[in-house]
Amino acid sequence: MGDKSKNRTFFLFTVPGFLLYSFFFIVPVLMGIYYSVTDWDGISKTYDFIGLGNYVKIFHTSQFLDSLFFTLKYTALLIVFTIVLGIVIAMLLNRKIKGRGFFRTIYFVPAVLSSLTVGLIFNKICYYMIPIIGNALHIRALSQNPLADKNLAMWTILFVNLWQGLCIPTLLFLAGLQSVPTDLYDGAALDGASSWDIFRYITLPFILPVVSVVFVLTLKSGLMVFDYIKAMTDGGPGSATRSVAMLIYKHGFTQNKYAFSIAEAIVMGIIVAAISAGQIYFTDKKKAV
Amino acid sequence: MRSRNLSITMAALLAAGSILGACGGNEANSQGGDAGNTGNAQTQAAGDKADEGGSGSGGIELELFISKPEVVDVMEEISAKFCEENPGVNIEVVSSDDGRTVVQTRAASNKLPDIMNTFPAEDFYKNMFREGYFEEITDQPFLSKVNGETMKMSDCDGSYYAVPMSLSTYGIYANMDVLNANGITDTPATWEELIADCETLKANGVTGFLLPDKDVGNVAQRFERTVGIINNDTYSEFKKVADGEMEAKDSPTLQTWCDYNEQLLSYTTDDHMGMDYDIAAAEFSNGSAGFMLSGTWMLSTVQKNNPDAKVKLIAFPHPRGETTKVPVNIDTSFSISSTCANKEMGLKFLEFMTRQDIAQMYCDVDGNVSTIEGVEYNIPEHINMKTAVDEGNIFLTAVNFWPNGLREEIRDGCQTFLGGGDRESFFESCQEAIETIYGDNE
Repeated sequence: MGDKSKNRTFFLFTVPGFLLYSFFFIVPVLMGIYYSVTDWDGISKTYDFIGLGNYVKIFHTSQFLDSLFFTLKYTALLIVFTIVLGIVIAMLLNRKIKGRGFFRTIYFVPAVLSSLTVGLIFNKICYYMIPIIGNALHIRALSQNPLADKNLAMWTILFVNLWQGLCIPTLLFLAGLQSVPTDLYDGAALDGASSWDIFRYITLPFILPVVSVVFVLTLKSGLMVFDYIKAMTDGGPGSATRSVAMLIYKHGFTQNKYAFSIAEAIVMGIIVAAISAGQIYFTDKKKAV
Repeated sequence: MRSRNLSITMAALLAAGSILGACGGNEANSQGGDAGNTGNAQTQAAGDKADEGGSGSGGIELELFISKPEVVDVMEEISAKFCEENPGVNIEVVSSDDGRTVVQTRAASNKLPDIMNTFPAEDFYKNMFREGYFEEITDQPFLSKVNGETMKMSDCDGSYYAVPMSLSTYGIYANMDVLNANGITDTPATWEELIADCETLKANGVTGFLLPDKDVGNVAQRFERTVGIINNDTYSEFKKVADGEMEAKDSPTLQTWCDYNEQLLSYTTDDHMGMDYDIAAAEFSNGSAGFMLSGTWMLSTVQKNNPDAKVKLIAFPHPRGETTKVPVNIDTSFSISSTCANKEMGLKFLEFMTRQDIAQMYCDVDGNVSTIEGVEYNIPEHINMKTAVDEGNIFLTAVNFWPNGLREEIRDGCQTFLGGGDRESFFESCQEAIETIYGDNE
């Protein structure tokens, strides 16, 4: 009887969260699915059902696949650089160096700026400062605004994203590093283990759960990259930096193809779900080992 | 194992849910983003002064949305004047340069601004009029103060939903300080003269043309306005492409567009692909180049950047030497939304805007040709444009006839071409864009 009453209490505690989640996530998703099978233009009060027409049309041109390829490439690079640089910086900040507190604080400052503000600031830096530096150093690639070059534009956006986006992952890695028992390091040092061995067999297993969290967060931010691109290139030059989120925006807001853009968002959602499922599956497998 | 599979499935669904939910959230981001893009989002309670005048609280609060950040200051002055004359009314002026996105997001939540500027000749706004988002004002007597030809352009199925205040014209701004300093005394009237002037400037180490090619919105506008000059009826020509009667690579208009741009690219800056419109406008104002393509709306920006700048707006000469007409568009027009908090006061504001002294006040700052009866166009920099309008040597710009979204679809290919892309790829991208958009709008 006691257990039943306890369960009921627990159940009641979940109700507000469930209702909020349903209202803000499940209902919009269901509405999105509904609109994606119509020809709604975002303005008209009437619309027709067109079945899977929007989904078929997505693949009529190469736009979606080009944007998807750009987004996946960008996300993969963002994940790799975030994890590698995040761990390296966290390990440096974890050392007993003079002014450690100051560096930890100053390093976190970019995180308090909005991504759009950062994008706009770097937009000006790229036009006014980079060419001066490039010319002074005789680096031809940087002698002009790197955002104007279709080969450099993505790397420039990635750099800006990392400049700002590394703060939180680094903080998480720093917290993970502080959870590693120091006696393990002492024992390894006595056994004559190399720095790489210490990192590989002691540090990495301890921070692996953090790596997993950072992976998921970076994956989501990479697949949905919008603000930096909007502020810095607007998807250009041409369509060189057009992510899927930019494409969805373009179709929805500049061409009034709302239902079509929702269908694109749903296809993207399915791709994200598949990647997330794979990531969770492999992480679980690793944990079991 | 089963529960693990279930948890994987649930997690995947959650991830999908979050991205779909977040896609909806982009609306808010983009809205804020665009406002932040130029730092132009502004609000001001224009009626504060009126309230101080003792009208007391609990008055009428109206929101006035302007998608032309360059006229925010004068609109705040006008709003304050209106509030002074109408005690108890408070108008909040809100601005963003991406009006269309703002309008769409606000329409989705059924909270359109009470009064706002619209572009009544454009298909997008006509659809909004038809859907009942704005009040019909066909019977309002103040519409008689508007130039008849302009009223015809703002007609929507025989009804009116906006009061057009001004016509924008598009052409080439010439910086007379730069031209005079290089021995050029007259502005060019033909394409050959334009190229000759650019040659003179180039020989003297001065940039001929500023082309802000990083700004894809500006690239799109330049494309749309200048292909219109090359062929006043591009809709029909592109329709032939869409219907398979012609290929984009055989389009004389697109070929001429490529020809003239290839010529102009040899007189622009090396970093034109890295230049935004704002930067280009600032550099032009300060005498970095002889010419820049833009419309009457740029004058206020030039004068803000450099009050001493001597500039003139001239017609863009037809690159093939044919007759040149000036593209015009209905620029500032005011409408009241169907959700306006006080429609009577909203209409009163529209009437107020058509009052000669107020329209004059607006026109002097806006720089576009006023369409209101009795307003004097005292802008010597735009005298050529005024003459073109008076003589009827104008055409309504292509965006009002093109199917919705064509300008935005075709612009990526244009930008790639300007960045050194080849003609073949440009024609292919035009072909795809025209077929897609005409097909979508059938």
